[in-house]
Amino acid sequence: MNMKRTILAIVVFVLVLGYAFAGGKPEGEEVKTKEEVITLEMWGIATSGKPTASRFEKAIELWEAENPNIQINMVNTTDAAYKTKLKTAMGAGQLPDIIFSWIGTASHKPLVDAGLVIDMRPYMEQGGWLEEYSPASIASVTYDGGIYATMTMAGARTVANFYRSDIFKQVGLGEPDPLKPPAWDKYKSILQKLMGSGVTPYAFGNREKWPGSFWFMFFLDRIGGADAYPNAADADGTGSFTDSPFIEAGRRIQELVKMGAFGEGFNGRSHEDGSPMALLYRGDAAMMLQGDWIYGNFKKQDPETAAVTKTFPFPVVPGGVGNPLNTIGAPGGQALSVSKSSDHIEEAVEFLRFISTDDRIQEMIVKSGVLTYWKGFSGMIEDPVVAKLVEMDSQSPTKQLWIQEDLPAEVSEVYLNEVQAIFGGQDPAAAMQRLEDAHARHWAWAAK
Amino acid sequence: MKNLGKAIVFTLAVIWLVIDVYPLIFMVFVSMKSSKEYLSESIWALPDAFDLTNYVEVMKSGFYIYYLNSVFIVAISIVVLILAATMASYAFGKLRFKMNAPLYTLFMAGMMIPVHVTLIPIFRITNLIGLYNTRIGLVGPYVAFGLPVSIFLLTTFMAQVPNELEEAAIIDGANKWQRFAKIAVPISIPAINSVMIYNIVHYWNEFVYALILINDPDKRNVNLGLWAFYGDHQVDVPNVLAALALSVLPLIVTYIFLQQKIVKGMIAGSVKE
Amino acid sequence: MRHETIRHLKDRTTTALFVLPALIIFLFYFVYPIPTAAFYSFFKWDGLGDRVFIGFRNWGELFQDGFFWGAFLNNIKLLVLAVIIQLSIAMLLALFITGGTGRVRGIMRSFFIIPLMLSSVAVGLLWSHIYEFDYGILNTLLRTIGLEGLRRDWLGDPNLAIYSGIVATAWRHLPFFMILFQAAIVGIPVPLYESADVEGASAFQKFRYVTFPLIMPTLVNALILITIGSLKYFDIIFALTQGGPYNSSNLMAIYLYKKAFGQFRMGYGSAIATALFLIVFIVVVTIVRSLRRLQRRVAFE
Repeated sequence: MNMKRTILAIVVFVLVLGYAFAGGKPEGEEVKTKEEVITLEMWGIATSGKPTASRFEKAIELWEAENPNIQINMVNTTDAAYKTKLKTAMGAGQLPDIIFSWIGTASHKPLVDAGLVIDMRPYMEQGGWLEEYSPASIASVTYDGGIYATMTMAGARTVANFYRSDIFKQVGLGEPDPLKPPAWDKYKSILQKLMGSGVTPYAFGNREKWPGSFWFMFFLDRIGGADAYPNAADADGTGSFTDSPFIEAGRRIQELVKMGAFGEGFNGRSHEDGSPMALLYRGDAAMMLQGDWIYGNFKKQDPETAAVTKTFPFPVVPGGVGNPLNTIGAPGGQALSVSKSSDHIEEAVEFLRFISTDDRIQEMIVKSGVLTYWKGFSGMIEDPVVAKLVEMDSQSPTKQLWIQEDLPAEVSEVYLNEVQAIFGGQDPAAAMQRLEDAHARHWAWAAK
Repeated sequence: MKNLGKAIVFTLAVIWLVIDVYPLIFMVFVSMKSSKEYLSESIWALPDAFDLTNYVEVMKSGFYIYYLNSVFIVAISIVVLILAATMASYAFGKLRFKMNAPLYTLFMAGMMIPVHVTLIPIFRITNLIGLYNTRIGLVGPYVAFGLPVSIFLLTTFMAQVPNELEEAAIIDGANKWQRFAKIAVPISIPAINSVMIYNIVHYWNEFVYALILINDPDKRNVNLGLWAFYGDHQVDVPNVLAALALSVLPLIVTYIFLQQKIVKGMIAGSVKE
Repeated sequence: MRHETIRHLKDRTTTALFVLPALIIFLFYFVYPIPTAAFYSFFKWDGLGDRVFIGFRNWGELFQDGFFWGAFLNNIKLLVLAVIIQLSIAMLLALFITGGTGRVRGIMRSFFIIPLMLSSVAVGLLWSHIYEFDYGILNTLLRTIGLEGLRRDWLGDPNLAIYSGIVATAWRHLPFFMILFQAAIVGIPVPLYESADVEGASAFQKFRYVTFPLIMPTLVNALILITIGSLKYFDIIFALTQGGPYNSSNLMAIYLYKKAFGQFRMGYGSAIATALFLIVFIVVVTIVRSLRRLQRRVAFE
């Protein structure tokens, strides 16, 4: 009996506490004042630890100040959990008004194919909205002529070799040109010099698999040119993943692995929990082939390392037909789409127009150190490292979008697994054959 | 010989203790480092200062709200679960009725359902009854998820209660409720204890249902609250570990508290003769 | 006559009331999903748009799916090793804890419980560090005691990943069985031990003839729980390896999650879920039946 009374007491206590802190208004209750207030719900991945979080916050602040009757409620989830949350809601037929997706066939296109998001081209063609974008960025969300998302709030993404100039100096290496890709022999000699001095060339964690994908993409592009991948990946493309550039790319990766360029234990090492960063900061490794965002991480986590960080492009590969200036990455911005089933499509589009074109917001984004090509803003980039990255990226004729986002999700998973397997020593020809099979199977499946 | 045996057992237990405690110590040490320290210096280095800045930062970032939310959700869920489970287990274990076996099997089948299968249906249902994006809305799925194992453990335990006690009580004129409350429940306290620990731990660490049913940041539970420390493809490990250390604390305290009560209960109400 | 009928009804109603709360909640939230999953498994559905009926095609694909059966095999590995490792260590710990009173044991017991209290996120982070190649304590320990050659890429080697995951899982879950066994052992009346002492029984004999038979029901429960749990398992293996590298540490529940929520194949994911459910069901029924047959053959005194 005593037990029951204790439990009861606890429950009552907790309930009281809960209501004291609950703050009361149930979700979605609209405050009816003289004007009716609309709340738009936007789902994204700008959790508070990310640079995008404050950008969205300020943007929403600016909007709500000028449009007090249209409130924006942003619900943020971590990258990993976002897909689960969104798909559950969608599977149950409940969509938020504005939806974030990763661009490409893996995440965004299924929404378009299922008819869940609106074509915004009619809106974009008015008022100079469309002109804000580079052709490449808007092309990435265009399907059959319709534009199914706006691109904003984040910069373009590019990948380069980030290296510690102090370590290079220590082992007697000069600083590579930040804009010109080094020749293969010169590149290998850099690696050998580092290893000879007991430094692992690359800090590399491939458990999440996407870091390894950068290597594959670059080698593929250098060896086979910008058309190699689209030929293989397009449903009506003439190529296949078993074409020689793919296999050659795999072999080059294994050449570097055997050399010791990545050290050991990289397939089990997580990138996201910071382990490779630790290697770099402690000087056990000297370089990282990573996306431009990594520089922001350096600045936050170890300013001393950031102060000596410089970049240089991915090397040229002998016998390759690809333009050595090509880069990989993503065009600028996060893709935000408007749900077709939204009750407030007009308002949602207006909000997206605002955050995509308003000068104050664009200035804020550029000042926060991202790569961007908005007209008239490139002069605002203050950090020299970022400036060099922008230069390197802007001289590139083609930028290949992340393959793991460009392939359909099912095939993308196989792609990442096979690349990781190649890093682990499996035969590239067999790996690519399996990828080709999975690819063929997917399209056969999708067709019926 | 006996002493040697005891020594060996004790040594093994101590070894296991080290294996258990090391991660905790690691967690606490790292949680006292700054992110820079953690990554830049040797992982074995002691923290520069045994300071609680990370903890303060975590709490200040609004983490105490997530705490309260978790406490709120877990407390209510546990109470509802224990009530429903003990009652049902008493029926399954001691009362005779036609639907006993089929219904029991139904609950057993519930143990075999993988959680992800239930996501979309539960989302639909919760939305339907208007409890979407509320903390109370989590209680239903939590209880439903905890019922099968709880009923399984409690039923087998209650079935073992000697029938003589029940029969004696019946003769004394006790009805089902009285027999339930005064005999079955007190005897089953060790089992109830196990069930409570199992479920409290599970609810406290629960993630998926909270993910899909909660939107507002101020309704998040502790595990969703960790997101504040996830950056661009990077986890702020020291802060996350500080948050996790804070998260483990109430569980350990609850466990110790329950253990005291249980031990007292067993000594006082020792019925098995 | 009427009195008896009314009392009978009242009797039945009371019984029903005992079961009702649990039943209502359960039916409402839980019983709906499994038939729904079975239903969806006959469709081609990306989770977003329309469902297309395709009959048994998902099932045909499932039977030939090497990844699924590989995952199934991993679940079996998990099950067997879990039973061996978790139950035995839990039993030893339970015996140790109940083997005496005193503060030391009490404190140790509180520490033994710690792994159970940690969330999968915590266990994932902590064991990732233990297994880390360069700085992880496992490899560092091996290096310090001179066994440098035994260092491995515990999470990156496809041959080892699942076993590394299994060890972390065992570490985390066995305290629960320790509690379960402890509760059962404490329920054994002391006089039984005293009479065994009188007959000069050794510690091992006391365990074999007194403890073991009397906690048999709990052991059976533990076996059933660990079987179901292992076949259904997701959390820590996912946190450590996400099923990789190269699907080598996949589990059925992880595969289901990836297909349904990662790859837009809800229909196929539903087929996996239904298959998983059936497998667990069959395995558990088989175990329970075999145990019953064993019980009938063995006579306890």
